[in-house]
This record gives sequence, structure tokens and C-alpha cells, in this order.
Amino acid sequence: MDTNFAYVLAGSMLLGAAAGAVGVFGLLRKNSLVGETVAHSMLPGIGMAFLLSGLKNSWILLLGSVVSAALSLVFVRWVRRFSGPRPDAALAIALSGFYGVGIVLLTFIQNRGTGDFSGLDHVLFGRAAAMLQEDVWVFGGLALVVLVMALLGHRSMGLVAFNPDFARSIGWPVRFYEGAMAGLGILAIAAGIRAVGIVLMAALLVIPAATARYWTHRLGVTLVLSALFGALGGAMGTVLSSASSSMPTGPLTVLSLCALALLGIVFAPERGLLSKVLRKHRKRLQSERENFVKGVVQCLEERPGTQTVSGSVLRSRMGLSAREYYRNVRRTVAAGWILPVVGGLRPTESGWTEGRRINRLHRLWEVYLNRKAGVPIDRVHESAEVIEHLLTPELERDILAELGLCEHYAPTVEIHLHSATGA
Amino acid sequence: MSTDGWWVVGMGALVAVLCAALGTFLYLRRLSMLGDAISHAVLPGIVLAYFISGARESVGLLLGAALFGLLVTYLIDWLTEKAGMQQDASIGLSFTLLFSLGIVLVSVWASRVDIDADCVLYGDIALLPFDTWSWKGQSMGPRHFSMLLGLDVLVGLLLWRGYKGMQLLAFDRVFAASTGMAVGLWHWLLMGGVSLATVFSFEAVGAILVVAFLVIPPAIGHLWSFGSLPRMLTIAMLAGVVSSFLGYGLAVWLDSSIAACMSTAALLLYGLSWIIHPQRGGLALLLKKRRVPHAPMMGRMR
Repeated sequence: MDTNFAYVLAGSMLLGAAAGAVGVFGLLRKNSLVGETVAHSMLPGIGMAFLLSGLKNSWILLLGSVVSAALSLVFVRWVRRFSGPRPDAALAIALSGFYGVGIVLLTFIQNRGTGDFSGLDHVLFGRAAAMLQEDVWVFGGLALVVLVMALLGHRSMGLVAFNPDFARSIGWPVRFYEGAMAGLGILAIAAGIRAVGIVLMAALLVIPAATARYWTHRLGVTLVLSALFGALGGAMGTVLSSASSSMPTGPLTVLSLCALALLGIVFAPERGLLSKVLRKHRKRLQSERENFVKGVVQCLEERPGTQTVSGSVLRSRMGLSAREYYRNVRRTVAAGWILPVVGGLRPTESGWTEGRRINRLHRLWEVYLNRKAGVPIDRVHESAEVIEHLLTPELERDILAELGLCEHYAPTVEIHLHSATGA
Repeated sequence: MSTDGWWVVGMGALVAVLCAALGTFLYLRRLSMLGDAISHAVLPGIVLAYFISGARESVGLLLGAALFGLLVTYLIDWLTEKAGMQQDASIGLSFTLLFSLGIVLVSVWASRVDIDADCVLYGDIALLPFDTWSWKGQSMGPRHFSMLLGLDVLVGLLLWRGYKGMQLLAFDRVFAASTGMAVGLWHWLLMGGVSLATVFSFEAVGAILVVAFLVIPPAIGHLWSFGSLPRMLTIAMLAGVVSSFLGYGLAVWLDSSIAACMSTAALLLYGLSWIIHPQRGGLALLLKKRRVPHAPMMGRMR
């Protein structure tokens, strides 16, 4: 690895990290598409800076892009004031309007044929490899400053982003913090377009932040993770694009970021799709287990004195096929609720408790529905079949209190029929 | 003005009318940024269409390319509802993903596909008059002009037949659903229309500038509508046509990209409305010496 490539790699990682960190604030304000507008509106500034100075100096282009981005934010405010509260339209007008002016300037410069235009082209889709060491110092340094400031100020800026009204009510200078966030955002974007280009800059702000949110709920951790994802995406884009000469960095960075996001969407521990599916599956298994042991206990309660229930009785009562029956037996035995004995099944101590608990919750819900919601008695069973697996002890207490019953109330079949007709 | 110039202005006007009509409903439904997303997201479809058909576009394949616009709408819904992502983030992810795919395809097939990055960024409307077609030996003018004209007529028919539905959906979605109207169908029709419009405008104005045509004329129309939807539609389309004329003049004067000049002209018209609007324009406010922040719009249209 030669020194220049190391420089470029470090630079694009810094740019990605800064954009990732700043993007979190946009996400918190549910306004992350503003980055798209800010990035697109840097084009006229860059064109104008080049046109006026005739130089491709990093500082001058940076100045131009920052000025026109700030103008575009002012423009967005004006449009909102003028055209009514339509945030999306204001963003889209500023985006396309400024971008159009930028293209006019760029093609004007191109057709005039003066000056070396080629570097400006990279502004649109990004070409990290075209960064000189000097550029890396300028943009990387800027990104580092932004990153550090975002990390230092994340508590206060996070609060303002999350709930500006509350921040105002406790006397915080909300406008100052909003300005600070906008300023950091503009700087991060102005630096970042070097690596990924104007057109795809929004991705570098949005995707790392959205990905980080899958892995954590804490703001500080989100910020750090988002910066890490951004850096990783920037590095992957740079490495991939250096492998081929014609490929711009921007799209490859975005594709890498999307791959990272997909990992989060699928595998994140709490919010990921996989864990959602697993949770559902586990819940279903539990319901099945509970239903089975409930069935066993019901059979035994209907035949006082017996200790075991035979498989055929249970199967016909619960309408289970042989396969389903053996699967249920296996699972409830594994849970320690049922003992297979000669002549059928016998619940263990915990099996009795569990079966009675479910039974009780079932009937409790039936009584509740009938008395409090006025559901006819022949309609309450279906809903109770579902709810019995979901009622927590707290809910059970609440329902008992609502019904005006004591804690040890145990509705039996008789009482529940009686109360249904008597109520 | 040369004949080619007239063709260029004509095509610009057709794009502008098409986008203004559909953009009006996007604007009213506060989906303007979704229009931005769709216009970016159809790129891979267009590249594929060009790749399969060779150099020149075929109408059938372009229709297929429009499916990518629906795909991105679907992807956004999926990310928001199934994967639990915030809506703005899922828009940002979806369209940048598809647009990146498109750019990668352009770079990979650079030698075999007749599109380059410039075309993506601002189209090449100036070249379109040279690609003519003839029917029964009779020259029919530029192919692209006919295609755009056909699509304009199609969308015109859609809006004419479905005006009531579109109107209802734009202003009161809940009420529309409660009347038993197929809200989902109308939503997809609008999205499909926007996808088609961006695909067919691509060659003329590129994937990004089309947003300017989708948003700015409807914003102008909204300002001068004074509460009437037909007036808003008419003024939006008129603003589009005027800006394509003005833009062509600007482009000739500056020797610059025609499509970009057309969108700049639209922006200038919007700025002009800012100044001369009788109720909320800068002049009126100066005369009244009173600032009204967030002044509500008149009548029904808010």
C-alpha cells in the first residue's frame, strides 16, 4: 500500500465518520432529507467559486460550497414562510432549483473551454482517489473537527433535536443549538462530497445513522456507531473504487453502506427482523405448550379422582393428529410439565399449576368480556383462547380489581355460566 | 430560432406540462420528496432498458423501466412498515441505493450503453431533434417528441377521467377511503404516472433536473391558485411552458445546458411570484408594512 492510498483511505474514513455522526441529529429531527438538499445546493457555490477565482484550490471551493449551502437553508425557510407549511416542497424546490443553477454554471464553464474543468466533475459522483494529500489535510481536518464537536455537544444538541419545545421551556438557546447543528451539517457535507459526490451525499448522512438505530437506543452509542459505520462505508467505497479505474467512489460507498444497513435490519438483537421472527416463533411454541397442558388438566378436572389421561381421549378432545400429539407431548415433557406414564399422561406439580393458571385466565377473561364489555357468552371463548397466553400477573390483578373480585377468586365453569346468566 | 430550436422548446414544454400536471398532485399530497426519490430510482431501469435494446430506446422497455419507480415506493413502504425504519431515512436509503446501482451499471457497461454521467445529470435535449423517425415514408419529426406527446396524452386522459378521484385523494385521503374508493389503486396510479414521466423525461432533462419540473411549476401554481385546483393545474402547466421558452433563450445566451436553464427559468418565475404576489409578495408586504408569518392560504387549499 503506497502512502498516497493510505492518505486517501484515512481521509475518506474521516469524511464518512463526520457525516455519519452529524446525520444522527438529522434523523432525530425526522428531517434527514435536508442533507440531500444541502448537498445538491453546493453545486452553484462550487461553480461560482471556480468561475470567479479560476482556481481549483480546496479552500476556495469549500468556501463557495458552504456559502451556497447556507443560502439554500435560508431559502428553505423563506419558502416555508411564503408557500405555507410544506417542508417537503420547500426542500425539493431548493434542491432542484439550486442544482439547476449549478448545472447552468458548470456547463457554462465547460462550454467556455477555459480552465481545467476535470476536477469539478468529480464533485458530482465523488472520486476519493483524486484527492491530493493537501485535500486530505483540509477536508480530513475539517471532518475531524466536526466529529469531535458533534461528540462533545451531543447531549445538548440531541435534546434540542429531540424536543425543541422542551429545550426552549427550560430556557436553552435553541436557535443557537439549531444553528450549530446546521453549521456542523454543512461542514460535514462540504467535506464529504469530496469522497461520495453531491448526488449521493444524502446516503452518507442517512444510512449510517439509520443503521446505528437498529443496534442501540442510547444517543451517545448511536452517535459512535453511526460514525463507525460511516467510516467503514467510506473505507469500503474507496478500496472498491481503487480496484477499477472507471468507477466513482460515491455509488460504491452507498452500496457498502446499504450492505451494512441490511446486516442491521436482519440481525440486530432487538429491532432486527430475525429476532422479531424468533420472538414470534418462541411465543407460538409457548402458546402451544400452554394449550396442551391446559387440555390435560381440563380432562382430569372433568373426571375427578383420575390421575392420568389417555392419549386417545386427549387427542379426540383437542382435535390433534398423531403427529401434533407426539410433538406436543415431547415439548411439554421437555418443559417438565407432563410425565408419560403407563396408560397415558400425568401432569407434574408444575404442570398442574400451569394448566390451572391458564384455565383460570381463560375463564377470567370470559367473565370480564361478558360483564364489562357486554359480549354474549357464546362469543367470548375465541378471544379468551388468544388472551389467556398474553395476560401478565399485573393485568390479571387489574382485571380482578375491575370486576370487584378478590385475589383468590377462581372462576369455575359453573360460576362462569351462572354469572353469565345472572349478570 | 431554428427548426431544431423549436423542436427543443417543444419537447421542453411537453416535459414541463407532463411534470407540472403530475407534480401538482404530488405537491398537494406533500409527497414532493417522494418525486425526488422516484426520479433518482428509475435510473437502473433505464440503464437496463438501454442495455437490452442497444443504442436507441424502445417504448416497451422504457415502460418496464418505470417499474423501478414503483419498486422504490414499495421499498420505502417495506422499510418503514416491516423493518421499522423512520420514514425519511427509508426514503433516503431506498433511492440512493437504486441510483448507485444505476451509476455502477453505467460505469460497468460504459462501452455498451449509450448513456454517460452527463446525460444522467442534465440530459441531452439538444441532441434529440436529430433522432427522427418516419412513418409510411412521411417524416414524423424527432422520435422523442412523439413519445413525449403520446405520454402527455395518456396522462391527460388519466387526469380527465380520474380527476374526481385524484382531487379527493389529494385533499382528504380519509374521506376518500370512507367513500369506498380504491385509494390504494389511485395512489399507485399517481406513482406509476410519476415514474413514467421521469423515465420518459430522462433523455431530455436527466434524472435529477426532472425534480425541478415536478416541483417548481406546481409551487407557482399553488401561489396563484387562490383556492381553485383547476386554476392551480393550469397555471402550473403554463409556468412550465413559459419556463421552457425562457430557458431556451437563457441557454442560447449563456451557451449552457438547455435543461438546466429551463429549470433555472422556473426558479426565476417562482422568485418573481415572490415579489409580485398581491397578498404575500414582497411588494405587497412592503406596502402593508406588516409581516405575516405563516399566513394561511385562502379558502380550501391549505
